[in-house]
Amino acid sequence: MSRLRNPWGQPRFLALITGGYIVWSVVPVLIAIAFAFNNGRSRTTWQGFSTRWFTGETGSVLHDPALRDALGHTLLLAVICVAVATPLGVALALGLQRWRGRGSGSVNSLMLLPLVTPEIVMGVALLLLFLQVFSGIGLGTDAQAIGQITFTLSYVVVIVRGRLVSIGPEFEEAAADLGAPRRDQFFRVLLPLLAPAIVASAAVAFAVSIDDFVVTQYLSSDASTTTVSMLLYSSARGAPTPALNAIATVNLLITLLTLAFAYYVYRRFAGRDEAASLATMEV
Amino acid sequence: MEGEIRLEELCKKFEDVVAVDGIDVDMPPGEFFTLLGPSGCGKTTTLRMIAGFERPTSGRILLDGNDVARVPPHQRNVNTVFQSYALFPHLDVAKNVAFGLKYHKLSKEERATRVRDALEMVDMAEFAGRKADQLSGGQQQRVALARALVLRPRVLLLDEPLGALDAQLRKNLQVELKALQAELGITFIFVTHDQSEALTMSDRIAVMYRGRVEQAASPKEIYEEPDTVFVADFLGVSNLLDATALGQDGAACTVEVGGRKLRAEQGATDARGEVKVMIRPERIVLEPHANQGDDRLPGIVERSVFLGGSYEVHVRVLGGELLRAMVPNDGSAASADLEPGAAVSLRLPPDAVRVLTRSEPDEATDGVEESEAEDVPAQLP
Repeated sequence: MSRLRNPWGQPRFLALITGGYIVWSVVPVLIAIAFAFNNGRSRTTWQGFSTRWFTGETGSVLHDPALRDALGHTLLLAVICVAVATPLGVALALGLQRWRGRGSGSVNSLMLLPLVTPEIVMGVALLLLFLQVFSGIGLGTDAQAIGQITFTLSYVVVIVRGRLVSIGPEFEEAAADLGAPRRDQFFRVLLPLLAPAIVASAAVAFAVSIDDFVVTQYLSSDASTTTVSMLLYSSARGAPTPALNAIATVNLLITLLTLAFAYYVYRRFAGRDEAASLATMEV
Repeated sequence: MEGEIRLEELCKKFEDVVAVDGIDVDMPPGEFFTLLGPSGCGKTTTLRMIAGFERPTSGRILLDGNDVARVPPHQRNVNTVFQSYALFPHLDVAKNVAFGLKYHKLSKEERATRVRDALEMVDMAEFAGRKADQLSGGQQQRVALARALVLRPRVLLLDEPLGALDAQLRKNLQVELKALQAELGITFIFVTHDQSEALTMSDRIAVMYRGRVEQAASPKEIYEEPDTVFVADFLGVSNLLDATALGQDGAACTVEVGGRKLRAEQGATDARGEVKVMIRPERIVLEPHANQGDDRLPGIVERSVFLGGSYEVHVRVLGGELLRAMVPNDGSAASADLEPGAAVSLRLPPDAVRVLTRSEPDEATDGVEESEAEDVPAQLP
């Protein structure tokens, strides 16, 4: 007797593909995190649980100067990046939204360019720029920050513009109608309505900055400008200890918390649908 | 009395599209004035120019004699109720209503009193602490009204404020809005594409079509004495027939419709040649086929629609035109005459037949069936 297939059921093989993919992509990360808590020096053989690679006396994230400085530098770059890219991106988004003349369409597409350009191309281009044109700035923290701002700006613009489009012009018109001059239309109405998008875009910029490797690597100068991602790359082939797993775990945690915060703020104050689009944008 | 608006030669072009094409309208103080027309007729653009959101391409907007065409919206003493209400979602009801009072020199107590009075006027006092998205459409509409009226504008602009509400609520609010306007004595300028709404509420209606004002007059006049074919067609159900005007016979004009001669006493009775004649369905009298003679057209019933208090009877008359007649359900017509296929005679009383000469409506803008989409200019990028 053959059983009738349930036509309303989920197609099984699609569920299988989905499940398989999740396991394939998450398990290596989970293993890497697990070994951050290994009690031995091995990154492959489990020798019991400990937090020595996070807070131990020697070679831990907290006490190894190289690791600590890399984490510090990563966060410094992220903070600079957010502090500059967010206000600049909001201003750009507002400008692009209002500007309805010739050329506004092409500038809109250009804003997406940094998101789709291979990062290595951008990295090389920025390197040449700082070596040849802005040699006064030179390589190092300033160049790294400027490089990161260059492309995180696009994220801010895209997120804030999306919100601007969904807000529409009528709240500002209503404010004007009720007697509010331009300044008040912005500060009393538009800015509060944009706030969730601004917070979310700042968080995304922060996360993108922390995760960045290519541009940050190209524009680095000496050891003091090493970030976590650079450190992971350079020492992965040297004499790695679980401390690398530990610092990667810290990095991951910061990124995830930031994005979760962004998603929460956006969902809480700007609506579920838009939050979903935000979640799919960040990789 | 304050609150008079005069539009002089007012024009608005969006790139190549002419949205408002040189209109002259007087909106007397204290009146409920309606701009009525199909989508894309320029009514919303006209309202937005009065509010100050659009800058006229040319022409003048006189508010109590002063040209305000170049004055920014926040300096005009007019307020708007938006189609979507545009209540600020980050503020509660009371703060929404208080928003504009910041720009009036008032003490804190005065401000609170004004907000409370405005909310009481629209029956929303108990919702003062709610956020806008916790209100129903009708409640939001009331708050939007309070938010505008609390500023005591000389003119209140309403952009299809009832458009998003269901039919019953709409009817109630129509009555309330009209009562409110009469009580406050403020000039209301109301935009709608709904002809019955316009007829119910207005002291005066300007029917707009293709950026021009076709006719501006009282609802009764607009309905009973339309100047143009478009107005006749847009307001209510009318029968419009192609006819040839043959000449005047006293007060009446003799017109020929499908080989029959009729007399028309209304409209352009001095016209000659190709014209349209118009008659409202409720003025047509359905008679037995045996009744032939003056002012009558013989025809065949195609179908009858029972509407409760009346029947709408579609009759194909000699010459091929289809006429709609409203037959009261009072026993005056023999039921056999209402059956499809019945031969009948339609009497068109001369005092109900109107000769029209200008502005043909095209098929795309058949008034009544018009979609609820916004005006064309609002959709421009």
